[in-house]
Amino acid sequence: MGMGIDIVVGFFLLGVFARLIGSRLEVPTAMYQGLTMILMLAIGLKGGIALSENLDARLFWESLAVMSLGFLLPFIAYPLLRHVGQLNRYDSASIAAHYGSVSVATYVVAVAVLESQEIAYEPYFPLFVVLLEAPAIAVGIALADKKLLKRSGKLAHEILSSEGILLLGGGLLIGFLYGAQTEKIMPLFSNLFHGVLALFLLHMGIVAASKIQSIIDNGLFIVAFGVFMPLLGATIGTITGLLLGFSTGGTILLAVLMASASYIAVPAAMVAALPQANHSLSITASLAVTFPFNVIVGIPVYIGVIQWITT
Amino acid sequence: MKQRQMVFAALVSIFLLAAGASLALLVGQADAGWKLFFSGCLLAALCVVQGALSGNNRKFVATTQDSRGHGHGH
Repeated sequence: MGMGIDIVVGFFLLGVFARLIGSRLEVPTAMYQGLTMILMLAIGLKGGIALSENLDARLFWESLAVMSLGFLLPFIAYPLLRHVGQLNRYDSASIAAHYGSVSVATYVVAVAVLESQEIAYEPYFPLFVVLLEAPAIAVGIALADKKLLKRSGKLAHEILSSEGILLLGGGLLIGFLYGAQTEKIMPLFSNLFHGVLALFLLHMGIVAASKIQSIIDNGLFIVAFGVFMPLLGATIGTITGLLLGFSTGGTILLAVLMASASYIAVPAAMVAALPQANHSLSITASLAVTFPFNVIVGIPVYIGVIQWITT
Repeated sequence: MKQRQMVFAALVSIFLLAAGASLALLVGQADAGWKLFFSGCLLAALCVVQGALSGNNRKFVATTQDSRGHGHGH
């Protein structure tokens, strides 16, 4: 740690700074897509290898408990958006779905920080990342209009074919099936992990800073909601992690997952299912407010608090 | 800006300030605590700016309506 900020987060801040001073610095789209693929496959493969070594009945109950949180969070977010934020039904449901789902990028940053601080965690956590992608989407749609759930076939295809689920789930399956054989390909996915993450976060910093105008347009409520929801989610994740008997690192990762909001898989599903919703509102909240908040402030806070509780 | 939204934002900023200060001073997590406190300061500043802007807007609307009302009188 230097200056209280993890080295990979430093690259995120560099991206923000570059955009704020009007620099033309950009990570080419194809490169960004390549970086995303490497990160998601790396997380999936690592989780799959761990899963092949830790597969037991306890994992089934843990998965069920973690998945139930994915159903719960949109039910908390929705009334807040509808009654306090006074947003319409479709916008409230769409944003609630984003906050019930998870951000793989935030998870990856948390893993990098835990590894740099040598905090151990349950290695099969990528399974939970995959399991948490979908439940909130179904709840979000049901909150907007129950009739829309009848089009579940098209929606299931949208979710399953999303890049996040395919790469994470595919990596998880390959890691699980091939176990130790994955060693052959791991130099790309393991040794280069932190460097790839640094470049990915540089891009995310540029993207997040370019949304500042959108934050101004959408108002103060979205900023307050985007900061409040991760803290509430992290609290629920921490309590669940402690109840399930996870290690300190595992509890931190569950808190981070609950605190994060999706900005890849859910937006695609919501555009298909709720075209009436204002999608820039949910992307602004999740990508321009919650993601930077979690990366810069949230993760150190969750680590600090959970370490204080468990020691 | 609707009043309920404003109150919510103000409450969140107060929570961040209180939680951040407690974390830094009582729990001994200075780094994380001050980061949380600083984000509370930012949100509070945004609340003040937004409040001032909507106050000015209300004054502007009231003044415009008032002067239009006088115009009709003449």
